[in-house]
Amino acid sequence: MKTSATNRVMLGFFARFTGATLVGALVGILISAFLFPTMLGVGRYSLTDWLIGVMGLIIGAVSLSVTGFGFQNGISRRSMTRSLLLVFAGSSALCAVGVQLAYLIARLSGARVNGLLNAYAAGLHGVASVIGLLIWLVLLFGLMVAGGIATLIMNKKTKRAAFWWGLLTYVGIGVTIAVWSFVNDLAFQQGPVVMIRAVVGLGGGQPQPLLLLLWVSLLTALVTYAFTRMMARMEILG
Amino acid sequence: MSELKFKHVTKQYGDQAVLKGVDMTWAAGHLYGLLGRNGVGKSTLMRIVNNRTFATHGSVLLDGTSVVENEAAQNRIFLMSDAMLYPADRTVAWVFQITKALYGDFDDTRAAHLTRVFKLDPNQRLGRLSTGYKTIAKLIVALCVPCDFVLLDEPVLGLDAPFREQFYQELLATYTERPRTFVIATHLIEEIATLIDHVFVLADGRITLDEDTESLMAKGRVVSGPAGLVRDYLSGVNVLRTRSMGGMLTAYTLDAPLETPLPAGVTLEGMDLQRLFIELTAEVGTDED
Repeated sequence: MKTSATNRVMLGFFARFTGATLVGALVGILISAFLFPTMLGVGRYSLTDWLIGVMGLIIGAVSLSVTGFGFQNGISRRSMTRSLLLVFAGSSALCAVGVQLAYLIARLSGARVNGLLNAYAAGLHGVASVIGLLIWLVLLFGLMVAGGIATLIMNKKTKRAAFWWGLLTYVGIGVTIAVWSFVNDLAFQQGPVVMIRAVVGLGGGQPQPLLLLLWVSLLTALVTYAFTRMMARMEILG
Repeated sequence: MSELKFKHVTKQYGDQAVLKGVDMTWAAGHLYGLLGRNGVGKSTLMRIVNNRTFATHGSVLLDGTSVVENEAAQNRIFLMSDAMLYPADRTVAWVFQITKALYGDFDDTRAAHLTRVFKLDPNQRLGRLSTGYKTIAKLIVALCVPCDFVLLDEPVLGLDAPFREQFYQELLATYTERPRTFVIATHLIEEIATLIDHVFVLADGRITLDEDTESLMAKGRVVSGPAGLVRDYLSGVNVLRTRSMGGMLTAYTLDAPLETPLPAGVTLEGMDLQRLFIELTAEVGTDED
């Protein structure tokens, strides 16, 4: 009884997050593919997937707030984890379709698609690319789970500690990227892409969507495992 | 009969041991008072029962089965604490509905009665309620949920005196109608003294008192008089604490030798629950005034 009710209740909660994300994605398309290029007078690029990726992280982070409600009602961590993953899967599926639509709109309108993943597998964002949809689905799922992990890590920390840890991480990543870019004589935004491509074997400019899917799946599996382990030990105050 | 049994429950936060081996049993159909000074671990103990945190060692068993990650067991336990874990943008009525969905039942009639008595608008969003009304909303859920064990951690926080009085009456009413176990952890001991039938005192990480309220009240005595006479009267008796002022001495004890004739000039009075608690949890020794 509790499990089905839990799923129902939690899915209801997350429907709102998913709805907000889809609206955000549409707004993101308009802003990044049309408004910014027009306003800034630069070429028409679609960077929508960056925004959606960040939204995925945020969905995951915010979704964890529902665990308080779960603990209040005696829902087990196992059930909460299952419901969260179920919702992440549903949300990422919807958002992945949104990303594909975004690319379609961008391409049909003549904008140049310059997304997060085509740096790793050129030509990935072709119209009706099934593998692209799959990659995005898995990636968004992983990002949502990663957002959840971030919340779990910050769960026991004070607001001040959370702020400083967040800032430190942010600066740490920034400095690493900057140093890498400088050493390799690359533009700042190219640094991490080249670095990661070199590490995961996706360099060379050839489209390798299957290898990309493999990597994304592997990373997502790892974060999902970490998430389930952390959820199993989760405690709350109050 | 159902029971919740604590078997040497410990809880460690880093180097700090909050619970050092709690052993006790909560039986069905009782109104328990869980008393203890600030920071002794009353809330932690309740949170362990409700699975919000884990015991470091030991176990909590509901009818012989661990309550950890056990939804069937948790479906019979409800913890009302000062934490607001319901979403702020939802209404009181929604909380009632969702509680019913999750616990399989809910006393809608009593909930309607309580919202009327406490003048709580069920269509109000939780985030817009005052501190007192948030407490009232949570209390209504606690009184209407179909659980066998209802744990109330500081249940009247933020309530004014008339509402507190009203709550105690409603608690007794629902308990009389459908007896189940309520465990109340509070510092307002005087207010619950006539309500509870059994007292647990948690001190130094352990249960130091586990006794029926009636027998405890019958045993608690304040002996006052000239110091020499009081000492003679209580010789060989375990004294909780003494306070001396000039040549006079006041002693607090649970073991007054009632069969011994009281010396002239010495008085013997009962102790209320609050005084008992103070003496039981105070440092043992003598206070000089």
